[in-house]
Amino acid sequence: MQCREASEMMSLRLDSELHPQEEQALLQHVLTCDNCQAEWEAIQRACALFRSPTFAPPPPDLSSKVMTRVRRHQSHLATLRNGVALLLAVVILASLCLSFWLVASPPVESVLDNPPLVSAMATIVVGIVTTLVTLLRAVALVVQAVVAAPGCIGLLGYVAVAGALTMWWVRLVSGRRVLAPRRETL
Amino acid sequence: MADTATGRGGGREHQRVGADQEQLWVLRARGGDPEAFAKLVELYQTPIHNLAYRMLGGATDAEDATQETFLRVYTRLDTYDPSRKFSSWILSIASHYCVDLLRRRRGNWLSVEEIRAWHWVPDKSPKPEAITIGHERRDSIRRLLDQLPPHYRLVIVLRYWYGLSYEEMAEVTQSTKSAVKSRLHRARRTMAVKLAEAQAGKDVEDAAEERRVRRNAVSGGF
Repeated sequence: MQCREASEMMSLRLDSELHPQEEQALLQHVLTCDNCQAEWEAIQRACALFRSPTFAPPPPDLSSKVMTRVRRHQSHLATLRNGVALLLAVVILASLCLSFWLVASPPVESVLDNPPLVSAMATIVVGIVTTLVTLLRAVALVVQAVVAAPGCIGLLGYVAVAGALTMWWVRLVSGRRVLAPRRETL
Repeated sequence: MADTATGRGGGREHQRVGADQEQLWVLRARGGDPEAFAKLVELYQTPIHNLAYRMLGGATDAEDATQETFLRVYTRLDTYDPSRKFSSWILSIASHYCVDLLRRRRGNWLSVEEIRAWHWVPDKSPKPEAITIGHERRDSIRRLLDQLPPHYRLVIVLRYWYGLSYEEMAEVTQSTKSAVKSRLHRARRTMAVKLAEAQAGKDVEDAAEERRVRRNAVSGGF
């Protein structure tokens, strides 16, 4: 047996992971090799310190601190989620209003091609929030495409989809609670 | 099931809590029930705090790490696979957090080469059986653990405090059984070297002290 091999087996021996034959071989090598014997004793000495380890008791208020952090994290998440939901609901409603306005003021192309009107609209919306403008422009493009379709069926379909989405978001905003209700039994 | 993973002192609560009950709490916590999560926190705070304490060495660090671990557990509950042991999963999250933290600190750990090049000399200090107990032993454990690189420290803690098998350690550390064996071997060798070094230093100090005492005695005789 090589010293290197013996050294690796020492750790396995401490975990009782050696076969009896391997154990015997290790023992014989350790008895005949001074260096390995010194190593084996040193390893045993170090590991003997860990023989009956104790568990440090956690601070008494640890679990309540953990739960406070978890609840705070949850309420931050809920605020963020509700904020996003509210923003989307506003965008959808605004796009609905815009689509009606575009339909009600013919010709549609001339309204959108009217630079002062569009830029005035854009300036107002940019003043509220920049991201909202981007979304609004995207929605305006969609509306344009729908309105350009022959007949009003496309527009009605769009209104139905937008309405359903709005309902869904409003329900999400109002219905989702920050924490589930307390349960008496677990 | 959690008994083996959290072992010894940390397993006391687990003996009263069955695996089914634990899974139920996990499912409820996943559904957003904070009371169920609070039960899991109660159940695992001792093993997680102890792991962090052994890994990081300070009470404040251990407390912060425990809080951070539970927050991570909470936000990642959706990714937990119920076919795995919950105890292994939660220990794995705590282990990763502690190892990452230690790596960022970049401790002054011994390299593998230094350990390999060590020459053993027979140690005349007391035999392993006669190891002192109490404060001295606790300090020795702390010093030895502090000198181990994070991954070596982790396997030592998981082995001795949690009594995990090689397979369980591989699961917690997300590595292979052979990697665990190799780390344990190197960790033990490193600790043996460090203990021998400390003993050699102590012997030198003792000899100096002995010489000083003898000199005083000689000069006091006149």
